[in-house]
Amino acid sequence: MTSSPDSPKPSTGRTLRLARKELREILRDRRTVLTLVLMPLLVYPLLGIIMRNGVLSNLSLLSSVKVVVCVENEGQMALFSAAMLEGKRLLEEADGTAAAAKQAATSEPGETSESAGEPTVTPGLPVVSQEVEFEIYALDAQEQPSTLQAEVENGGADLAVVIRTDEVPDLPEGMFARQFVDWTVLQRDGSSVSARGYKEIGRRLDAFNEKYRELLMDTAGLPKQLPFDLATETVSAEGDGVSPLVTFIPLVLVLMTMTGAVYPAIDLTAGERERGTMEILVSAPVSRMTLLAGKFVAVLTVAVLTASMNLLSMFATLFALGLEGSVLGNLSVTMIVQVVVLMVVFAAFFSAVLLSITSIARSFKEAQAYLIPLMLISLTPGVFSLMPNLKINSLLAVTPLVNTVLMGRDLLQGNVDLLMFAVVLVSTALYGMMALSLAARIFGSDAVLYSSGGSWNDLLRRPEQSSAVAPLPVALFSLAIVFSLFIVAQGIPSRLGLNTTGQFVASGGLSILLFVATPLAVAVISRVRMSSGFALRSPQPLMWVAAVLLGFSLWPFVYELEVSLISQSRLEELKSLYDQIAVKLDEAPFWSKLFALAIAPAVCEEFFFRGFLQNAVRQRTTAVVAVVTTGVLFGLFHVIVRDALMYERLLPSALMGMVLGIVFERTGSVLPGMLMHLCHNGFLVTVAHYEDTFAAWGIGISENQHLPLTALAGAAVPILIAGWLLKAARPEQENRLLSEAQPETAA
Amino acid sequence: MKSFPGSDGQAVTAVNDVSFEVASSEVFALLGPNGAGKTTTLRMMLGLMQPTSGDAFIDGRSVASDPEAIKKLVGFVSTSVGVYQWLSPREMLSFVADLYDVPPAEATERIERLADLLGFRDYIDRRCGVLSTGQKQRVNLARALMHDPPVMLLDEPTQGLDIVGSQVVFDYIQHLRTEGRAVIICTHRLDEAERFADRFGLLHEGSLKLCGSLPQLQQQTGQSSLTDMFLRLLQHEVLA
Repeated sequence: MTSSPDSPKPSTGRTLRLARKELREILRDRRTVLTLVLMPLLVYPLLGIIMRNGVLSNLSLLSSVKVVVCVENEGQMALFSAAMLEGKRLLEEADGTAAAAKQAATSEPGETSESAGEPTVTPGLPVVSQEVEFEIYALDAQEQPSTLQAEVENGGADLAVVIRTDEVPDLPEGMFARQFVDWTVLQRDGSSVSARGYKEIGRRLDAFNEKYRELLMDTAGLPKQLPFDLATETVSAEGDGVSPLVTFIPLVLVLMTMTGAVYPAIDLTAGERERGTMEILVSAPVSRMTLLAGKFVAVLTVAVLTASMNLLSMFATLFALGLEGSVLGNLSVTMIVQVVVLMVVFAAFFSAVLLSITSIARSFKEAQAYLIPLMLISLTPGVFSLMPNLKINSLLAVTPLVNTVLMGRDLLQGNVDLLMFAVVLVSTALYGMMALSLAARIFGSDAVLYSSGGSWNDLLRRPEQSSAVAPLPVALFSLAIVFSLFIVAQGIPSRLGLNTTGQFVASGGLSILLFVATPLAVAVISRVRMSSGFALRSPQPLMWVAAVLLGFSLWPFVYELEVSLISQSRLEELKSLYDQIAVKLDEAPFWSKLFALAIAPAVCEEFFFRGFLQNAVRQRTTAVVAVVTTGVLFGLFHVIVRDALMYERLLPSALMGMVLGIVFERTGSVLPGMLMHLCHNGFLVTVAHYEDTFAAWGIGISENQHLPLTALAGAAVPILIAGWLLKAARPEQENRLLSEAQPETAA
Repeated sequence: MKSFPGSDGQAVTAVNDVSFEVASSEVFALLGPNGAGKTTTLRMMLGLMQPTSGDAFIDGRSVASDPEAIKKLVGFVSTSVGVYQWLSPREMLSFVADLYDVPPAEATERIERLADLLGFRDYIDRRCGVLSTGQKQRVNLARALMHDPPVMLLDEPTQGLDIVGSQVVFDYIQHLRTEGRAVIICTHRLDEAERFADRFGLLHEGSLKLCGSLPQLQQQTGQSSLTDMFLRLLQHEVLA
């Protein structure tokens, strides 16, 4: 690639001014406003009305359903309504008794249950006690001659009821006189309202019959007790039986976010090139990254605006139809914040993807041709969200699009796994950064601007010249891959059916694959030189000493930090988690633990985080930014442990990562960090393994206890010495860069 | 030299061995048929493309090593450059001024001056999308001057313009000369070039065949007009 180096520093103010200009342009165009405002305002109420009339009554979501019933004449009309009213009254009476009985059973003496008095509505569950209203008309009152069957057939009525009155038999004494009747209900095939009405008629007549039977038995002086009494209680499976509408919402939201972003993304890249205004931008002394950032902010803003408009319109429709309770359950502020965060992160991801694709296109038409397949592919994940039994797992959580749709569903259902939520957010954000760095690589490059073809090849072509350190996009790319693989692969060692030793070996092997093989492959493909790209060079001899000193003396502080961060209840929780695996830990030989928990992580993690990542970040930022960002990332990786989110590990691990980062920065080599990491982990593994032996010698600390101050003071001495050694070290970073710059210019 | 990766993977050399100098207040015309490499040469001078080898210097600054500094020194006019459909000329010019870090007060003052000079005051607040081709061209001419560059590069500045539109461009070039700017114009309209340029470079198949003022070239070739010189050059190529 021959694009010019971006010497002007990207500036936030400039980016925002650029974004403002882009937004001004986009928003003045009525086409955008149309998709942005009008579409959601029209689509949802319309959809709502259709669903209310057609689908919803079947889903038992509405609080009431109106059923139109046709009978033969006025007399039957009176009979029908009287029977229905009586049936309803009896049902209500029975419900009242049942509720009172339930309350008596559940309330403990001396305490009042808050929820007992009211009918409890499980969030997301259909409303069970759905009101059916009958609207009755008589056939003979119609002007046109018709039959009951015809009325049902042509939809004039949902049901028709034929009532045949029989002779009144002899009634037992005390029973009120009533006609015995034969009812035949004509139901329209395939109509949900019709079916619902029929069911309700049956229920009310049953109640009537039941009452009559009781009366008969009373009169005859027979016991009311029947030989069998059957009652059912429905227990809803987790995530099951949830309103099907909830699964649609994230899908619709994702689609709408995409729709909102597509037009501005094309307009600001391919459109700009087509109109010839791109040259104004690229001939200005503004870095391409800044130009792209401005466009990204603009596209993101429109996407988020579209998504918000859709969300608002959707909720307004649900609210207007009285469905918000049954569809969404209990809305909480946390839930709304989570949905919004997910939406914004997804919008950022998709905007970046769109920009990277539309940057290649030279015209609107070409861009649209590229985007159609993308949109079609993006529709597929929607299918996943419609499978109610599909639970989000590690693999799905790092699959772009699918993760957002599934997480959106879980959020709205109120059963969100925070670990998965974090994984979805981080992976989506990483993919977004990856797409954005890809877009930056293509955007405005002269091959795309002026040559007639081959830009896709340019994108995937290996660079002609090797580079000393991985460029930032390459580093981000491998970070995204490593993160996804890390999430997916974590569970593998335990699923292989190996014994504990085997599992330890497998997990060490996994570290090698993840943190060594992956970045190595990326480095080879993008022609990053090994020794410099991973900072594999020998440091000054004294640096080894500093590394050992730090490796053995940092743990008391890390330990203290962890102890002070952890709460008692959380400790119990972790203990029980730990107890499940602790038994197995003792079975494994020491060497396997040392390999899996000390050697492999020390070598592999340093290779990736410091050698590759921090090295790359440092090329574009200051030492402080490089150390802090890599440290935080290092901390994040340590938070996610298999199926749990060990958030108390974030700060200690991030700080540890930063110390390792400082060592890397000062020594210019990845090796001392490896040694320090190895000493630290190795020491802890050894202590844990020989805990009993140490305890027998009288050395040891009981759990969750603070260390004595003298121990901390003692540990501070080697740290200070190491710090002084590092400070006194020759600034390796600069020397190294100078020496590496030399052969390049010579070549 | 500039070479591109061709569709077959082989490098295609667009421009090779082109060197000339332009002084301030001088108008230099880079002439040649379509595909001769004029635009590529211009884009390299503009810092939009990196030359595969070689360099260009403006005010002692190198295009190859300092493209961003070069961009501040060069104004670029081309009929292929468009305008922002939904912005007014005033908004668009302020935006461009901001891209070049021109202070807002200075930018406002410059917009007023250029509106009078190029005559677009009447439609300075209408959106560019509704302007005619000639009107857009005036806005574009103003755009290139927003950062007051000492060097102006014009790529086929009269392409697609009518007589009035072309005249505006000629006046503009005259104005640039009187303001002391160095002007380089790429065109295949040899007749036009003869009217406004001080010196000429004849580019053919990516290399500069002839370079000098009109009398110098006439002496060199024995032809009186640029058109004749060029036709003879082409003939030579065919015969050779």
